[in-house]
Amino acid sequence: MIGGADIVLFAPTMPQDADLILRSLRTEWPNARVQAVDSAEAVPFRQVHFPIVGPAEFIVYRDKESFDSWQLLGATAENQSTMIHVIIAPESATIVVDRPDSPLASLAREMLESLSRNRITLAAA
Amino acid sequence: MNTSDTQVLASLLDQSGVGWLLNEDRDTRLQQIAQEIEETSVEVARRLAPQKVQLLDEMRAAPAELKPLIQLFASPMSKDMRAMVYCVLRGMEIKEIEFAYRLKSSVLLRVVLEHNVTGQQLEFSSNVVWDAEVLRHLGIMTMGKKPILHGFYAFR
Repeated sequence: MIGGADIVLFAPTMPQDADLILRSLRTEWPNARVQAVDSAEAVPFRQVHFPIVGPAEFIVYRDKESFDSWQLLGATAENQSTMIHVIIAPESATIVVDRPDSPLASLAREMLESLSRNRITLAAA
Repeated sequence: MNTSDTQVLASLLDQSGVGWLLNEDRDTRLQQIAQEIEETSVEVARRLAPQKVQLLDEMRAAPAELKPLIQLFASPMSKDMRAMVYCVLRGMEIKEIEFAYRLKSSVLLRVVLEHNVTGQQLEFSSNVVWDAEVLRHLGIMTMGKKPILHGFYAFR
């Protein structure tokens, strides 16, 4: 993508991490399209099979128009803030956004900070 | 419940980290938990009609997905709140939570969910103090510094 910034939380991930991020993105982008990395299709949230458990990788587009734009044009100055790439691996959680200083990057940092706090609260439950 | 179902249930509890429940009165507890699972199935089906729900079958098919719910059968919780947890696990969004408590007097937990497919709002309420357990398993998030409670997650 044009520019592109990896916002990373380096720590062993928890089974709920991908699920919590995806549900939070649904609140931010209710009309989003979600694409599994091994699929050419992107589906609305109502077709996502919850809960997501364990490592996962998916791309979330703000809406159908954004997905279509990325499919047709790739990254452009106009559409780069309409896509988030989430990678939950065993040893790290990464959110790829448009730029390191963008509103989307702030959101990504906030989500990862929340993830780390949930690890403490849920481990103590 | 037949022998096969009993073995499945015992295995599910064990996989979910609450196998210790069966250390005493194994048969009695298995029967009790099986009955509570059935009661929760009926409650979920009633709320999501005409959708059919058989929780034990779903647990058997996807134990990791439903681990947080399986763990709840280790607590003396109401079928209403267990039904609520199932709905959250399956993707419904938590829109409102009210919790009120007065020492030795009263407790109220009220949860409103939005169905992720139909948009329908579902309300669950309880006066059972043990149902406060659900609050400890919610995912806590902020987005733009605004509070969000999403999902329902297992303890280890």
